[in-house]
Amino acid sequence: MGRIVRSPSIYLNVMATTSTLLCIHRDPAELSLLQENGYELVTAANGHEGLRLFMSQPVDAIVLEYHLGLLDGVAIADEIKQVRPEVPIVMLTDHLEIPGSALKSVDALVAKADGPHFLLATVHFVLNVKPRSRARRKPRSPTRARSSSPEDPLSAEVWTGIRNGTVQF
Amino acid sequence: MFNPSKHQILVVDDEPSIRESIAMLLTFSGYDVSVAEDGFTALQQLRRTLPALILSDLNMPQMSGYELLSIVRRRFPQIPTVAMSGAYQGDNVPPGVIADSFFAKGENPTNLLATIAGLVRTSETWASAHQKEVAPAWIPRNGNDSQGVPYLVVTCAECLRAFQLPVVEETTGAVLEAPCRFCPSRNRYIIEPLGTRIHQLFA
Repeated sequence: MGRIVRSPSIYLNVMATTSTLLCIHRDPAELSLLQENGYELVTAANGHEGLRLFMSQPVDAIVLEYHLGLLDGVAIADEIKQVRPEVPIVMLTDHLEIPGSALKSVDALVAKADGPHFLLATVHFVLNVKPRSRARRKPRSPTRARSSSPEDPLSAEVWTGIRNGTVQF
Repeated sequence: MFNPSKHQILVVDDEPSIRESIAMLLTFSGYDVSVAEDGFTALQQLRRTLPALILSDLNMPQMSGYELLSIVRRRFPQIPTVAMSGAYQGDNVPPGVIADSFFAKGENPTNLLATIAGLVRTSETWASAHQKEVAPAWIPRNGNDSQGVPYLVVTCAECLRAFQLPVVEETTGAVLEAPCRFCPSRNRYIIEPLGTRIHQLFA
């Protein structure tokens, strides 16, 4: 009987996403894994530019660095949540020693030490695991056959691989 | 971060995007992850291997998380469980749900990881606590009898004989107790709350 546990590599470079992320980060190169995995990135190197971009175009989620200089990540998160509270914010920090009160506007906190894959997984989580009021309603088919769809995070070829046994899990 | 040391987590959710997102987060947090799309599929997986923890959605077709978690507690009391749902808020386990913890969808994923790490770390304590008390059976509704009275079928945990019970009032997930019609034992059970199936259409 085959293994039922999945390898981490199954999740890389196969996600079918069309989501746009606003990345407010001093070094956007650190976020390249997000782009490699299908996310469209809109980048800003500081808080003022980030807020301007946020106001000027629709984005699905925000990746926000905690230390940004004059206008820090917490202040930006507070501003963003006042305008569009439904947009999830993932805060990226050098350490997790951040006062809880400073994080009331943040949906997830990721330490840089946890690595880019964990950031990728967290972004995917906040975009997909939502309460009913935030989730997009979609008709449920009468049979629940596994199939690829635009909202399915794994692409059709991965599902095909799972079915024919070339992808191990 | 807690080092999961490759503990296995079984994630049960009928929504592929949610199931895969959670599986991905747990995988990159260091866990081995398996997935199932409903309660029946989860039980099939438990025939192959027992995970260190089960994380299950509540509203699912075929067999719901309410029913699955009840079965898991009775058949596999050593496995800690976390219920999750987008229909409830807060940290408390909703009424009628037999689980060790609850995660409201939309909450910070760090909380979910901390909950899972804590339960896995203390799994022996949980197993001991679970084995001291027989968990109530979560029983789906059967429909109405020939008199038009709603009823359900209880299977005695002791003698394994089944008997019919009328549903005389809505109990919204409360734990009830019924004497077996055949042997001296008493059976604890929870009736599927009205509306659970309706939730499935919109979950």
